[in-house]
Amino acid sequence: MNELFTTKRMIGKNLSIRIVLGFMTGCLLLIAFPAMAQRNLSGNVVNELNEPIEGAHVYLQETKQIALTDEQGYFQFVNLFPKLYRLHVSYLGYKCIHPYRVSLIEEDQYLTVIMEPENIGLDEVVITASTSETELKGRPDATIVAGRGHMEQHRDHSLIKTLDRLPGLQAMEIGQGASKPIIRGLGLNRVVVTENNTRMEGQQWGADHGLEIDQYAAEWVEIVKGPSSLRYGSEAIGGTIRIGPHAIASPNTLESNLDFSGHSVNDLLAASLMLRLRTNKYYNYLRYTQSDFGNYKVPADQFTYNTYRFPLKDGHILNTGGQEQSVYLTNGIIQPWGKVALSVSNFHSRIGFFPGAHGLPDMTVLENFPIQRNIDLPFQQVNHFKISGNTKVDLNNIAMEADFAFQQNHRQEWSKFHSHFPDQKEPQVKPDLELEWLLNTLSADIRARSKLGKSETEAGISLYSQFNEIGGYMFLLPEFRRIMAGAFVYNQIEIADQLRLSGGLRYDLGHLRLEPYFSPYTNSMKSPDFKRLFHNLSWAFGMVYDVDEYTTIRTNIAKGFRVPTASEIGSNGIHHGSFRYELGDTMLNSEIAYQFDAGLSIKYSGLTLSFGPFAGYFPNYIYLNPTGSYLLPDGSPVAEAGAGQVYQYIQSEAYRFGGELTATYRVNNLLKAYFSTEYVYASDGSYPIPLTPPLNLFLQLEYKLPEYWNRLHQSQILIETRYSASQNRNARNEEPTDAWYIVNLQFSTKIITRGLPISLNMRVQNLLDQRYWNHLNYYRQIGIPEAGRNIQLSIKIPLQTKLRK
Amino acid sequence: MSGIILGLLATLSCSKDETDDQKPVINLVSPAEMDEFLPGTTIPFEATFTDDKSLNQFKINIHFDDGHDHKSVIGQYDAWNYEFVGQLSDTEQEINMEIDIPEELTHGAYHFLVFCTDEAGNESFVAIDIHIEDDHD
Repeated sequence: MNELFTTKRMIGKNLSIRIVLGFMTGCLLLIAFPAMAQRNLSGNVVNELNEPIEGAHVYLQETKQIALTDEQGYFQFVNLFPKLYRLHVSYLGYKCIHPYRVSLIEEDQYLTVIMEPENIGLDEVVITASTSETELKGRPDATIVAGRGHMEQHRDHSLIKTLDRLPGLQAMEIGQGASKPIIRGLGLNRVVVTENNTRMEGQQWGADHGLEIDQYAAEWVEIVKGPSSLRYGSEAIGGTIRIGPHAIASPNTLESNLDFSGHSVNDLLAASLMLRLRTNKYYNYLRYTQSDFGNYKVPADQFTYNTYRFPLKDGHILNTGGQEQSVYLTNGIIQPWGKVALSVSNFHSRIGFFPGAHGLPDMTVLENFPIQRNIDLPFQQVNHFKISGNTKVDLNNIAMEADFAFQQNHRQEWSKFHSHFPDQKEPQVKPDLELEWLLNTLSADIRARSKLGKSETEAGISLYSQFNEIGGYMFLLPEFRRIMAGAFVYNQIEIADQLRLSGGLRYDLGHLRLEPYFSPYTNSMKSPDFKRLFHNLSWAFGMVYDVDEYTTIRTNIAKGFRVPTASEIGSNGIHHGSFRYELGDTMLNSEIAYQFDAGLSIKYSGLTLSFGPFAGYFPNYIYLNPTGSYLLPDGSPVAEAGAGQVYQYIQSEAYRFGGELTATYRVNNLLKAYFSTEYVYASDGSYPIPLTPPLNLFLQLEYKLPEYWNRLHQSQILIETRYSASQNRNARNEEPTDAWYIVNLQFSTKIITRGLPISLNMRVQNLLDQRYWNHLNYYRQIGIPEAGRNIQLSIKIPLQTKLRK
Repeated sequence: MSGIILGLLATLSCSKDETDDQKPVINLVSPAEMDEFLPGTTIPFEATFTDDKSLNQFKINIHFDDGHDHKSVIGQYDAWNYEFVGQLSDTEQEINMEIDIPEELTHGAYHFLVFCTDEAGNESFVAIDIHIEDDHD
């Protein structure tokens, strides 16, 4: 090439010779053109620790092509014209690289793109290559993260079920439409869920109340397994689930995704549309999700409850269908100093209850109930509205975040009017509205973080105020007002290259006020006038030590707390959700937990091993104690007809220990094996704590398939088996559950059309159609088994456009 | 730290003998499933309660079964609702009682429930259906 140009210059100014030579050059250029178009641009993408990043988006601006990095972080563009190119590299949790300028004029190029983690919060998110779920490096407590890859691959009917396989986290399912978290055996009001830095406030005390979140809107989820009150205050006593803020698109980009899901076991159809827009300094996020499903089916034609057998028509668990609609909108400004955004979201769901879950199963009712997709009484309905303002300011050494939010959780339970009071008449208005709660919460959370050399300090304050109104013909718990204020300070320091120490303190002050309730049917105070100030100190201290390049050990000790709930203090009535008559206790104190955690992780050759044991002590664990009496403590009879014995909330000591062990082994380039086991032991010194998950084992084999027809990329087959030991360590009046195992099979691939990867997942859950009972699930308590074989299909269609200026 | 763990384990292993998670057993002799009774007469209640450690209380509840789809009650009388709580003791006890059925009550199917607890709070229950109506109903 160079020679050609040199020759041309050496020839004189003779015009005709120049024309001839010009023509010859042109011909040569034409002949040589195909050869000149063969530039290759390839490279690998790594993080700041030089570990490869799989699944990073590499966008070549000039040709509008997208490549996804593979396991080694490798990407490639071929047949490129030799000129200047601009690459944009992005991956969730990392600072986007745009543009990365490269010249292919001279020759092919091979790049190493180093990405730096984005400052999402207090932690460093290090997502290692092979799985999109990992332990957080640098954190002394037991924390795991699940990214978009995990969500897409393991998408199920609701968020916590999608995350269920993570060690230490279990889903408590309510049929096949909703779920709520249990972290190391603790759930309900012992787990805090935050979304976009705001605590979710709903009626978490209900075992049949699912988490009111659209799973499609969750891009990454961090799970802290242990008391995390230092950072999240009251109720973060068992753990915290943090659903992160949405990623922001690259400048001048419109990113769009369309998701479809279908499940055969309950004829579920779901669709979700997302738009993510960014100009230079403005950004938007919009998502709409709709889901509709019918009854779920089990491989059984009858079930047994209290020694009686009841029919199941064609294996249908009647009236367990539902619908879910969700919308999420964010508008924000992003500048070099930070960002400010306003988000509005609304989640609405209506799900039927199996007729028999409210009261007792009735033979006649079950025989006459039609098999239909419509939801009939009884059913639950919830609407969760949230509006929040979020600011993040990043100056040289100081970062500040402020989050303000208003949320309203409106929950109703509808059931044909029935009363446990013989003289209670059906109401004129909404006669079938059994229970209703309207919870309004206002919250403010401000944090500042500063890095000085090897020390990082964070401090923050949080305030929230809530008011809960009640309605419905049945009384369960009173109206209440709650105000909480907390302040914390936390410091992390690097002692040597390999040793990091951290510690923090927090002080919380809370005021709880219950409105008295007088029942005309019992002619007595159902719930007393109660107000009390609670104050608590929380803390956490930990250490992370990198023994060598393969091994890390961590230890953590933390104290968490929670203020008793309105139901624990003021309950006085039949609670269908727990199948019990519940009586509160106004003398309850804040529940406190101390937990010691340790962790060992080893990464060597193709093997990654992680072991995380824990031991915890509650000096005053609150739980429902069976009194053995059908009379109230003062000797008077219970006014409600047909109630069982009185259960009263009491406090006593509780001991817990257990842990998780996970191992990943890369057999060869194509085959990977993953194994995990989790165990929890929980006791009050005399009896086991109810709803404790039994020993679980999980084994997964992942096999990479070759590229097909140049179209199917990243194809893989997964085969999994999950084993649950029997749970024979039960609380009084809790049924034991037999051991079980299920096998699941999955095929996933990406079809690349027009440079965009369409993800396709085909999964058969419970391949062998096993009949089994899950100890933690809501319907297990009336003997209903788990869903049968479920063929699941999910498709994700992405679209990305560069906007014209 | 290991000291705390050992201490916890020691505490966990010792209190086992004072616990009782065995439910009491109810043997309902009378009434029997689908028995029929006339208003104004009595239901003879006969049952034997047994427990491994110590019985505590029993309860009888009789309430109208409107099929749980709650059609408006047709008829001139109110549905009958009966509740009785009795004390029990020892590991075995037989109860014999006559339950008076009111003269005026809604006729039809009734649920008959018997509950029992032991001192530790373990509970069991039995539920049957009986019919209360006149001969010509």
